[in-house]
Amino acid sequence: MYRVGVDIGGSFTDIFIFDEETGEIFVKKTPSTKMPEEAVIKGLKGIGDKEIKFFIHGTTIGTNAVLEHKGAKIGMVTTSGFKDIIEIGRQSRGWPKPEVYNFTIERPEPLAERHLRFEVSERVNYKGEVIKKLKEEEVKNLTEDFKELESLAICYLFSYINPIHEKKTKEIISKRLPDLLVSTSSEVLPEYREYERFSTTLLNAYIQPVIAKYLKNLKLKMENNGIHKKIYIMQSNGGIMTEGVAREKSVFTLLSGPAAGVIGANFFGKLTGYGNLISFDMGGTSTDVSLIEKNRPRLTSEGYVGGYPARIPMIEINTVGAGGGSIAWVDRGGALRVGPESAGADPGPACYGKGSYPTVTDANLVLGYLNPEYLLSGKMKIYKDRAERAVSEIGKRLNMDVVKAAYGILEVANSNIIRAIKVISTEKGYDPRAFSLVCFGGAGPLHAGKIAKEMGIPTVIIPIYPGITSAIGLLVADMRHDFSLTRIERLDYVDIEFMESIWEGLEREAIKTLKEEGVSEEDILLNRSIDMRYQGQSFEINVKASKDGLEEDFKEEHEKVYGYSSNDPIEMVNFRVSAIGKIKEIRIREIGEGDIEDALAGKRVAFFEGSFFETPVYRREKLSRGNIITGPAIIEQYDSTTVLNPGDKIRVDKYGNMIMEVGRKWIQ
Amino acid sequence: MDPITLEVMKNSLIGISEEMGVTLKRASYSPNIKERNDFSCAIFDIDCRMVSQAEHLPVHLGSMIFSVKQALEDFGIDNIEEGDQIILNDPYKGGTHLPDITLISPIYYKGNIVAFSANRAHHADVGGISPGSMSGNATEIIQEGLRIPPVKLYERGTPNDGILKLILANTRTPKERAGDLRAQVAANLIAGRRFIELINKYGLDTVIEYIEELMNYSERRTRLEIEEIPDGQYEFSDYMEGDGIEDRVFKIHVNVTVKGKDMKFDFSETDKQAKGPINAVLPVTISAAYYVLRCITDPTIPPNSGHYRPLKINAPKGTLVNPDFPAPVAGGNVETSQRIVDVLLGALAKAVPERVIAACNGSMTNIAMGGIHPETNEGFAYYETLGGGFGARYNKDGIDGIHCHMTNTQNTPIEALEEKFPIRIERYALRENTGGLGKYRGGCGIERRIKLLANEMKVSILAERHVLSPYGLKGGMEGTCGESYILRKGKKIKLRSKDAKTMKKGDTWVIGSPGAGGYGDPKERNRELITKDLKSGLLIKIC
Repeated sequence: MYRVGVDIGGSFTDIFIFDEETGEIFVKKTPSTKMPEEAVIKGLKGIGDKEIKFFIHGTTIGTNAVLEHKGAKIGMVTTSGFKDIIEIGRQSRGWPKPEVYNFTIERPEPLAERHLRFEVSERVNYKGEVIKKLKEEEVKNLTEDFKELESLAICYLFSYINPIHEKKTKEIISKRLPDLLVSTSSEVLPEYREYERFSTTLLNAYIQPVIAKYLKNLKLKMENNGIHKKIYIMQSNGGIMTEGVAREKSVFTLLSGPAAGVIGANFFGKLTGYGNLISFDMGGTSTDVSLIEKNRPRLTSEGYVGGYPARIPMIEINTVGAGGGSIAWVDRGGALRVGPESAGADPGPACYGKGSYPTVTDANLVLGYLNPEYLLSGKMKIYKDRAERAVSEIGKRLNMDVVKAAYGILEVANSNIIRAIKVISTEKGYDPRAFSLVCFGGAGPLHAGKIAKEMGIPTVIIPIYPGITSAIGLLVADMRHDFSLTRIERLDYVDIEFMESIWEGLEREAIKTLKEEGVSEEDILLNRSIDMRYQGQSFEINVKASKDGLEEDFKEEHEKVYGYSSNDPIEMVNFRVSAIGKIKEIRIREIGEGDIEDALAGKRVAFFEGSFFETPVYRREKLSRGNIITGPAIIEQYDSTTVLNPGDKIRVDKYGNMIMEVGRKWIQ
Repeated sequence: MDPITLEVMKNSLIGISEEMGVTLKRASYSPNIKERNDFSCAIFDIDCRMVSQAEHLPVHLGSMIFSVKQALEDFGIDNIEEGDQIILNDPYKGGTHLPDITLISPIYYKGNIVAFSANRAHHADVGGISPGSMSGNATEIIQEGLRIPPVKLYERGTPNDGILKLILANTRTPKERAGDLRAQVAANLIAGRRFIELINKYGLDTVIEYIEELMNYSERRTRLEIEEIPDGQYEFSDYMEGDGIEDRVFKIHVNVTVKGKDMKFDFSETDKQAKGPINAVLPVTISAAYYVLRCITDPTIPPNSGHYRPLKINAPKGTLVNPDFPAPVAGGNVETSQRIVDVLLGALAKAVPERVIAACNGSMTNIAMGGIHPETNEGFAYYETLGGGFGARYNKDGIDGIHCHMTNTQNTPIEALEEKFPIRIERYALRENTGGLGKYRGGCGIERRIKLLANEMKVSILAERHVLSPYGLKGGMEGTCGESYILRKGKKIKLRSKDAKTMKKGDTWVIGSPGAGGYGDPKERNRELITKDLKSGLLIKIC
């Protein structure tokens, strides 16, 4: 039986097939097509319905629709007097990072144009009391205006505490326009803070028709080809859900791509016996880093997509514009800079033979880290002379030779990445030296050793397939749903029954959803938690629920995160339930024993500690369990190259993963 | 000089000031710091030069140099010891306005001071005649709150309880203040730790060498940008509309001289200082000047003392932009600083029209409310600022309803407000037709309507541009002025831009912030943009 994962990229659609019996993984690449589902169908050719156990789909369709402003034509119905909340936002400039000195900034256009944002008379107060009854006639009169719309968002103030008007409005509209997709803010995200809730609801409305259409077509075509399996979709929280749920809760699919990478990194962390991990995914244009504590990725609900807040639980990922294709340049003040501009795939780094941008990849080539003849195990020819020419141009402007310039490019790129890792570790109160670096993506293993050494990280894990670690994340993810509800109450004023009733309500919803998705009761895992704060504060801390110790747990967490706690009254804000449907863990194939000499492919000169050394080059595919390599060395495989620095050591585990022990920083 | 080490060092130093900010934000108590980001963090070298500052609020940019200088002058470098934390807020002794409290601490390495870390945070209350310490009608600084000259809050790592008690006894919210001060100490400590790590890695000499280099680098980049500005003298003036005490306008005038790679801002023809609290002390004026320098050169230049070297500022003593003690100053920071920016951009528009923008709404529209909550019988106080129009650019429209120039604080969600205070927000929306017309139009202002549910509430406003509208550029029209009135039984009770009133149950307070100026002749506006405005309803006047 196979687990099949699909990942639609800009140029290629990848199909990953994991054979549950043998533990082997196959990758099929097909060029992406205008109608994305066609490439999927093409890639699935030759696999029978009976052979497929799971079909898991990572999709950037929703994310791209937002980033490229190609979502549906949507409208919005809101409380009278407040149609511009979605435009004003929080009044500050910079989305999401402040940009205070830039006169050319642009606020992201609201997803519903102003003339399609309609106001109706209604009002609920903060206690949930109706103080102005919904004027149903106004809603009825609006339905004429909705005819040109594909999707509609209903967003009223305080609907998280009393959704009655949102429900009634939806009912009236759906009766008249049964085909119109309608999202209500109380269903999408029943949490307080109107701008963020409205924004999340609009995002849902905006991508829902796009995702629904795609899934419908895909399903149809798959069935025409005899495949009747359920489709599972990746979410930004690192879990998967069925396609039926994805059509309703489309917003949960946003930014799911990088989340899969973190799940993949965590899988290899578990496999190699490490729990505290920093996942480091370095691709062509950017690097994603994320922190995993005790094999649990850190979640945040303060994410943004294309400048729009999306308050859905997302794996916390920090992205920096430093990848293999990042361009090196000299600024007007004479400093060497790398990125964020990237040469992309076309023209690509100078060594690809098309352009002349000096990139990080070219620097790696000049220093002998990359194979001077070809990449992708011979499938792609590269031109070292062109890399040298491009890098030496930069060198000339800095008054350095080509080697020094190449070394500088890597130093600067690494320092950008180190800064990004500090943001998710030291700045959140975690010491990176207590973590292991899981590196993947095409360029990750080239840089990881140096970065780990610089940061004092003792261990680097290079998974067996660095190029497809994200895809493995798709194949191993559990089902997951997060439910939440805002109820602002003082902790010492409410009884346990009140809290129980809220959690039970959320759990009922969670169990219902998972059961509808085909998960059996014994595979369901429920986790309750609650966001709390001291009364008067305007930010919350998430605390795992326990029968009685809530107050103590909150204080302890507050002390840890903010450095102090007090005896002030505590408020509960958001109740949360995360529901996990366990998926059977996969077992990947073990490798055999053998001699390290069998993997030795040759030698080439590479730059370490200030000069060029004859450095052994190994083929990763030929490594055996228990092999030990001491640096300096280079290990090549199909889609990635690992650099092992002097003083460091690699051990190969029984699955073929490489565990790098990083020695202390050498003196330059 | 090695350009690689330079870039790596730049990343590390900016990283340190950013980490200070994260620490401050994380450990602080008040929403003002946590949500509104009203603070800033920086590192200084032993010669009181700024080494790096994190990008927080422009209104603090570069002005902490004065605090460090004052601390050194008052104590003498030999009397500043390891573990000391010097606190100050006095605008006439290195501060800006009283709510901004600055903490400075020395960084010691092998028994010698090698640098200073400093951070400044806006505290919600430091006493004075009105809650929030932002009174619109004080006539001397003594009325505005507690003045703290440079004193040691910590001596050799030990808190000075006497001083702390004294400060806490002079604020309406002592618990919050204690928490925020603790956070400020923590931020300075983290900077010290990280700076020492940097020295351990590269060696003290190298760090010092590259700090110098980094300043030279910023200076080089700044001078290259200034060189592109045509040489010449460019003048402009604009006005503050009243100071809350006297009903007259106050002129701010600048003469900008550009010569080669140097630039000078001369404010000598500015009016004398005001009786009311719209005076901007020199550090505030300098922040506004640095803000403009940064915007019109290149915002990616690392902000340090080198960045500011090409700029000379002349602001004579006794004027609105450099007042003498005991002039009140609360509004200098929040209102006058905005006008200084307007004046500088107005002058520079004559030299580099494509690098500047038309006047933004020109105010922070500070509103404050206070009274007794009927449900708890406890006192409450609520302070908020309103964004407005962002000025039109030479190639595109401005932005509607947003905070501009010297501020970038966030609003409080309505769903949080109504839960805390006995008010109901009836409207929070863009003010249609308030953006100045032009080839590119200015942004529209914001309207907020607040209905009182309790019996009585005191309200006050500290704003600008209710009489004198924000200017347009190159034929662009002016933005519409702001306004404020109380609706009582169908009648309008008007408030001035700096005013205070008492609301009764059922009253609704309407506050409208100004729109921004347009850019270019409105007749040249293209059809598509006109259609867009008509459709959105943001602009229905067509000339």
